[in-house]
Amino acid sequence: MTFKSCAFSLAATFVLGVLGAGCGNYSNEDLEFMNAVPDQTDLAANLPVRSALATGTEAELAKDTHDTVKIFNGILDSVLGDVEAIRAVQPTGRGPDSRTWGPFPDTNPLQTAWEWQFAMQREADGSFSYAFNLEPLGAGGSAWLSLITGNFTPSPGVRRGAGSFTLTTAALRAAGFPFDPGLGKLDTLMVTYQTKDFPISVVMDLVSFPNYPTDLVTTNSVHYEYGAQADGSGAMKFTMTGNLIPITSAIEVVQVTSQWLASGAGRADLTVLQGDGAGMMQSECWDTSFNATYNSKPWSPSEDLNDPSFCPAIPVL
Amino acid sequence: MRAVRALAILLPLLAAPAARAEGLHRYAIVAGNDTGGGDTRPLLYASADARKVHDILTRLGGVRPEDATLLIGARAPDLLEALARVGRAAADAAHRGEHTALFFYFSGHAKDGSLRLGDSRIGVEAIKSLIATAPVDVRVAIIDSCKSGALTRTKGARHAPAFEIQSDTGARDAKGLVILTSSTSDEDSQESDAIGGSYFSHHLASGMLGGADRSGDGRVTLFEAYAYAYDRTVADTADSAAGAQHPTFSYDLAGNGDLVLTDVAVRHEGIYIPRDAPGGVYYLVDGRGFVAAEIAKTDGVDRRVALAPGRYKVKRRLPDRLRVGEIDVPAGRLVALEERRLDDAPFSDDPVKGAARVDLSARWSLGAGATYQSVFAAPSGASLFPPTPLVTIDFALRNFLRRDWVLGFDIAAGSTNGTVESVGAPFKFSEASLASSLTVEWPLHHFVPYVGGRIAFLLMGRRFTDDAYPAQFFSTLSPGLVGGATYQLSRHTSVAAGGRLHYLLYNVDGDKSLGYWELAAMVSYDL
Repeated sequence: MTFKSCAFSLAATFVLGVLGAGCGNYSNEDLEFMNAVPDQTDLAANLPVRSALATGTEAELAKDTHDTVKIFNGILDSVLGDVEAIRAVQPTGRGPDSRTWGPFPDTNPLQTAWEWQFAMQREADGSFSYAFNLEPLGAGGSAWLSLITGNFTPSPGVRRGAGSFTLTTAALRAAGFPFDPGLGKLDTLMVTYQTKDFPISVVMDLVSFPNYPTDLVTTNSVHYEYGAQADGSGAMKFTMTGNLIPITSAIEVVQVTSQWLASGAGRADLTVLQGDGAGMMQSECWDTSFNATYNSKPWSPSEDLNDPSFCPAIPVL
Repeated sequence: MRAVRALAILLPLLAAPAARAEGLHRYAIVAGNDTGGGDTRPLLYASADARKVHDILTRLGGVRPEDATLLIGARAPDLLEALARVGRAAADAAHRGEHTALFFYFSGHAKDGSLRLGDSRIGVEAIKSLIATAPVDVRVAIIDSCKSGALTRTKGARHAPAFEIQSDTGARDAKGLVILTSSTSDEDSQESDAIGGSYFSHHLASGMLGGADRSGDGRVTLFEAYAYAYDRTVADTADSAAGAQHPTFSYDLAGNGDLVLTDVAVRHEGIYIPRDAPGGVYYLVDGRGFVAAEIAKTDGVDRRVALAPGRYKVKRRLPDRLRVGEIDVPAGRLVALEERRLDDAPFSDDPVKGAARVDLSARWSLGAGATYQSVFAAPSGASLFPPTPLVTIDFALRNFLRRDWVLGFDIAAGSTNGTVESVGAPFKFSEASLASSLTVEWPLHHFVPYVGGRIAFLLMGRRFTDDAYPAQFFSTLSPGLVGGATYQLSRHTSVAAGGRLHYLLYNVDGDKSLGYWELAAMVSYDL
C-alpha cells in the first residue's frame, strides 16, 4: 500500500469515525523474511580491483582469477537481481508464517506474457524457504513453475546464516518460457553458502549449455568455491576447460586455487587434471599491482621467474 | 448626559436618611443563566453574578434565607414557578398585615424581546407584567442583560426624576415598581475578565457592600447603589471596544422615601477604610483572585465594606506603582485598613491582573515544549517503535466551546535510533504527529489541573543503515486520554506538565494493541 492510498484510507476511517485503523509497511517480521533472501553483495567474491593501466602486465593466473571472479559475481548478480528486487516493495500478502510478493507482470520485453511471484515460508525450526515462480498471464495461479528455490537458516546479524538456492530452467524451458540469452545458457545453478562465521563460504555448481541455443543436450559443468576472511583476504577454487596448454589441440581441464590478501597480493596454484600436461602444476605469485613476482610453469620454463621466497605469506583459508 | 442624570438622582438623597432594611418583609428571586440558546454565545459570569447578589441580599439586604430563591441555570418554567411561590408567600404576609417587597434580579441573555434562560425564554413584557402585578407592595427588578433598557423604555415605567426623601418611614408606605437595567435598549451589557463579572453587577454589588454609601450612615439605598453602579460602569466601559454602557433606572413608586438595599453596619463585619486613608479606588480581591469589591473612596470620607470573613488582598493603583497588602476579616469583626500595612509594588505584581487571576475569556495560546513517548510492551514494542523524544508546538483555544474547556491542537516531531534485534538491523526512527484534544480545566489559583481526550494522527517511519532494507512507515489514528496541570507564571505565561495514554492499534504483522504513554512539558503564552 502506498502512502497516498494510506492517506486516503485514513481519511475515510476518520470520516467514518473508526479509530485505530492504520496502514503502512512498518514490520519487523517483513525484515526477518527479507533477511532470509540472499543478497548478491553478501555472496560476491571480493578481490581487489586491478588497475586498467596494469592489465597488460598482470600475472597470468592473477588475470584468470580476476576473470573468474567477474564471472562468478556476474552469475550471482543476474540470478539474484530479481530476487533482491522484492526488498524494494512491501509484501502483497502476509500470513503468520508466510509472505508473498506478487503476482506481478514480468517487465522483461521478452517475457511480457508471463507474471512472477515470490513466496516465502517460515518453517517450524525457524528457517525460511522460498521460491521464485513464473506462470503465463491468465493462468490464475494454477501454473506456477519454480525458477529458483532456496532456504536459509538465520543467525544473529544482518543476513547472517546459512542457506542455499537452486536455479533450474528445465521445467520453464519445457513450458515455453522465453529465456533471455544470458539465463538461457544455464541448465542448473546451485549455490550453497554460509555467512554466519568467517571465513564466509560460497560454493557454486553451474551446469550450462555451451552450444546454446542450437544444442541443449551438451552440457558443461563448472565448480567454484569462494571463501573470505574478515580481514579482506580471500580464496577462490575454480576449474577451467579449454586448450589451455597448446602443445596439442587437446582440451585441458585445470583446477586453480587462488588466494589473496586484502592488499591484492596473492598466489595461485594450477593443477592440470586432463589434457596436455595432465598432473603437472603451475604456481604463480603476484604483488599488490598484480605483477608476477614468482612463476613456476613446467610446460614453459622460459616464463619461470624468481623463487618462492618472492611470494606473499598467505594464511591457509 | 447619563452621569449628569445620575447625579441629579443622587444629590437629594445625600441629605436624607434612608429607611432601615427591617421595615419590610423582603423576598428575593435571584436568577443567573450563562446560556441563552443556540444563537447566543455562553456568558462567563452571569451565574457568578447571581450568586454574589444572592449572598449580599441574604447577608446584608434583610432577606431571610428562606425567603430568597436562587436559580442558577434554571429554565423559564422554574422562574415562573418561583414568582408564583413568592407571590403566594407575600400574599399570606400581607394578610398578616406585613408590608412586603420583592427583589427580582436576573443576569443572563436577553434577545429579541425575551429573557433567555437556556433554551427557554420569557418575554420582557411578560416578566415585567408578572413582577408589576405580584402581590407585594414594593417591587424592585434588576436586569443585567444586553439591551435590558427596553424594560425601562416601555409603558408603565418612566425614567427616574429627582427623588426627594421625606423620612425614614417613607418606604414603609411605598408601593410600586422600580426597575434597574444594566444598559440601554440598544447597548450590549459587557463582562470583564479583570473583575470576574459583568461591569454593572460588579459595581452594583460593590456599591451594596458599602462602596455606594455616600451618606456614610451604613445603609446603602437603592438610589445610592444605582448612582454608584452607573458612574463606575460608564467609566469602566467608556474605552471598551463595545462602547460605553449606560445603566438605566425607572421609578414608579407611590409614597415617599428611599428604599434601603443593604445595611452594611448591622453585621459589623468586613473592612473599614478610615477617613484619613488616601482616596482612590480600592480593589479587594478574594482568595480566588476575583475582585470581591471595588470601592471608590474620596478623600475625607470613610467607607465600610461588608465583606464576608476571609483573607483579602488589597490594591490601590497609583500613577507609577501599586499599593498592595493583605488583610484578614474574622467573623463578626470590622477590620480597619491601615495605609501602613500596604506596600509599594510594581504593576507586574498586580494581584488583580497578575498571576492569581484566572482569565476566563475565549483566547488562544501558543506553546512550545518537549514530549517523551514510549510504546508499551517493551522490548517487542520498543524494537518496533523505540522511545522517542519529540519537539511540540501547541495551539489552545480556551473558553470558546464552554467555560474552562480547552480545544487544543498540537504538532510534534522527533527522531531516535533503534535496532531490530531479530535481524540486527540498526535504523533511524522518525515520527510526526498532528493531534487535537478537548480538555476540561479546574482553575485553582496558580495551578490549573486538567483532564480530557485526545486524538492523534501518527506518521512513523524508519530508515535502515543497511540499504538492503527498504524504508518503512506506519500511519494511524490514535485515541487517548490526557491529564496534567498548568502553573500560571504571569498573566500571559504558564508552564504545563502532563501525561497521555494512547491506544495504538498496530496491524501490519497482524492486529496488536500496543498503546503508548507520553510525558509532556510545555511553556505557553496567551495571545
